[in-house]
Amino acid sequence: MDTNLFEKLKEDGLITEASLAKVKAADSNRLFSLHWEITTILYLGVLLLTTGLGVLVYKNIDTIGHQAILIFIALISAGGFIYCFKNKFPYSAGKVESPNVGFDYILLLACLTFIIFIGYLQYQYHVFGDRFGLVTFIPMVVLFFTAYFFDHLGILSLAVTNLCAWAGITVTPLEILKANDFNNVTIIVTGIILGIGLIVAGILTRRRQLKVHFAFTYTNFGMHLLFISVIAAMFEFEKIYFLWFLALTGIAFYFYKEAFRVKSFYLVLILTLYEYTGISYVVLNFLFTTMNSDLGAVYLACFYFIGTAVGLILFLIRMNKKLKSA
Amino acid sequence: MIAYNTTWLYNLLIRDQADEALNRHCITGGENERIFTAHAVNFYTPNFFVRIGLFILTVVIALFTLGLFLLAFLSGSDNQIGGLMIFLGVLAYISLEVMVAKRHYKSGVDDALLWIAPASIVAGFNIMATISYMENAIIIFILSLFLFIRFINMVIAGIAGIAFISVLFLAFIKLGESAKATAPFVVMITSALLYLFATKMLKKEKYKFYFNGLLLISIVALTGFYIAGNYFVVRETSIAMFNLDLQEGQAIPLGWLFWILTFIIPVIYIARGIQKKDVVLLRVGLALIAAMIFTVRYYYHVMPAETAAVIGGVSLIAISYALIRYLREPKYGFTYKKEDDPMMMEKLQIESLIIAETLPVVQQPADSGFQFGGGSGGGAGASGEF
Repeated sequence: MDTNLFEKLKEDGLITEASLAKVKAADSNRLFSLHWEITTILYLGVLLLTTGLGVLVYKNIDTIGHQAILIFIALISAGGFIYCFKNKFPYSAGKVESPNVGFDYILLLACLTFIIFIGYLQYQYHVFGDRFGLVTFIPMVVLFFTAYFFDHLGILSLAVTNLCAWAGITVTPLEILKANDFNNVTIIVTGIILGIGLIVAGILTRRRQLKVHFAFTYTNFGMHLLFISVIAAMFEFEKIYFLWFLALTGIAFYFYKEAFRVKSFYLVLILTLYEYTGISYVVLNFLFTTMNSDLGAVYLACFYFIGTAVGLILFLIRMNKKLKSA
Repeated sequence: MIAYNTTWLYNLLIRDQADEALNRHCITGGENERIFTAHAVNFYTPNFFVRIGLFILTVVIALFTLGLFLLAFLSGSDNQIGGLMIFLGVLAYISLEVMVAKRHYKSGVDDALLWIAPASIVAGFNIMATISYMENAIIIFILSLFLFIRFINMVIAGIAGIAFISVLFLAFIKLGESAKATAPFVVMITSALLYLFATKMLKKEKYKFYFNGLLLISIVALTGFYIAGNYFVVRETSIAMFNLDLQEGQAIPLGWLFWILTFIIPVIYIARGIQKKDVVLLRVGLALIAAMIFTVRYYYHVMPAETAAVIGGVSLIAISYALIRYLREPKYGFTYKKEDDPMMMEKLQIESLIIAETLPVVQQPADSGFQFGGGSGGGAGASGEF
């Protein structure tokens, strides 16, 4: 803090003498925080160590043997869970703080090693035979349970990702469009069902007052999945695309209401962009089918985008004002 | 000089300081409120997400305006199209001035126009004629310096810094063979001077609105100073740009000097950073340690990568553990405690997303016809690379 500046504020009578003294004291006693630096070093160290160990094990698998590795992984996982069971604060339906800094990370480690353990078992010994669903189903159940029992948002995200993986869809933020074949009808339908399910889970979480801070994670995953699936459906079922467009608009309207309820600018932005994609598809589709895709249609398309983008800017500016005062 | 209303910019600074003081419980909520009412800010700065939306939409408008122009000049020559791009850039600049006059500040619209204008002007010049790296660097330097001075944007300042060093480097190596051999030292001297200049300006009250930009310039200068002296960079640039005929494993002239620089500069940065409690020096130094390790490993394979990773990992964990223990109680003005951070809640949500993104999830095969095989989710594991 700039003490000169606060001297001036004191002269203007905006802060008291006592406050100025506090500012000065805070400024002279200010500590230089190395938190970010040390945490980064620690994180890098863990990353290097685990990668190095992984490669070492991989290269020496013949001498170590799969059983030894499996036991080792199981021990880490079990150890982590036991530690967390012993140290956790009692369960409550509200938010439970973690007892110490390391707790969340140890829990995460326990969960991840558990997933690796199950995956390893299947990969090496085909324990679950051809029932591939079990390989994702078991970790999913464990992850959901862990997320609620120990109150861990990160593990809840992992559980949701796992739920979608179990249903056959990748939903990690950077992979959702890349890894899925949204031309596949099964995937579109699964996506719609899952999306609605997650949104409903978000609503129930709020209604039942069960870990209310989990609601956003459900809604967020559900919203993106549903929007993307419905837009994909528009492209895929060309004959009835307008029906899907109406569905898209309905969903957008629902989140519009939600945005006002929770005062979320994020929701406004997301629904605007998805709905804009949908409207643009309808308009372009109309332009290029009625005008047989000649140059005139291209011109009109350009005008359409410039015009609507200006319109949307005005819309967002208005929404910003409305939400702020809401 | 600055396009934005400087009184409001100043009031924004005061508001930030007042918020910080409030967070540290130095002033009361009432005092904070009084400071806010006494220091009005009439910028149009919407919420962060709305800002992203406005940014995207402004880019959409610019792209389709360009599309319209190109349609009209479908059969135009390179000169016409290049001229068109420059015209569009000027148009974007004029819109930028208009929007800023309409009180836009970090609204997304001005952010976007600030990038569209220089980008299309530079693109226009390049379409019109084949121009050399040097000419490009000069154009970019002039544009970004001007835009930085007028619109105080931090990233533009960084680009101006990079362009400045590039111009001097490219101009110097034109002087002949001996100039090429001494080019690293010229870049080092340039960077050092740039760093001294930036840090001097940083301390001046008069340039307080340029603070963030100057900070980034100083980071650019520190990095440039290291890159110019780094053994890997010097060796590979000499081969690629100056046709230095080197065999695999053959050393460059003055190789020993560059090896020393490769090792010593990060250490000096970190030491000075700790001594002067300078975050910039400290963090740049830490990041450059990684560059140093990469350089060594590129030329000397002392031990297998995995052994090095295990040893390195263990020592890093040990170091950080020791530091955390040591700094449990603050020592010499250092602490491990976090600075008070009101953004914590938002970070939590982001953190959970990062976890979902970087950690592996066992993916179910979509088609049950083939074997379970790891899938494509996540990327943190060691799978698939061997």
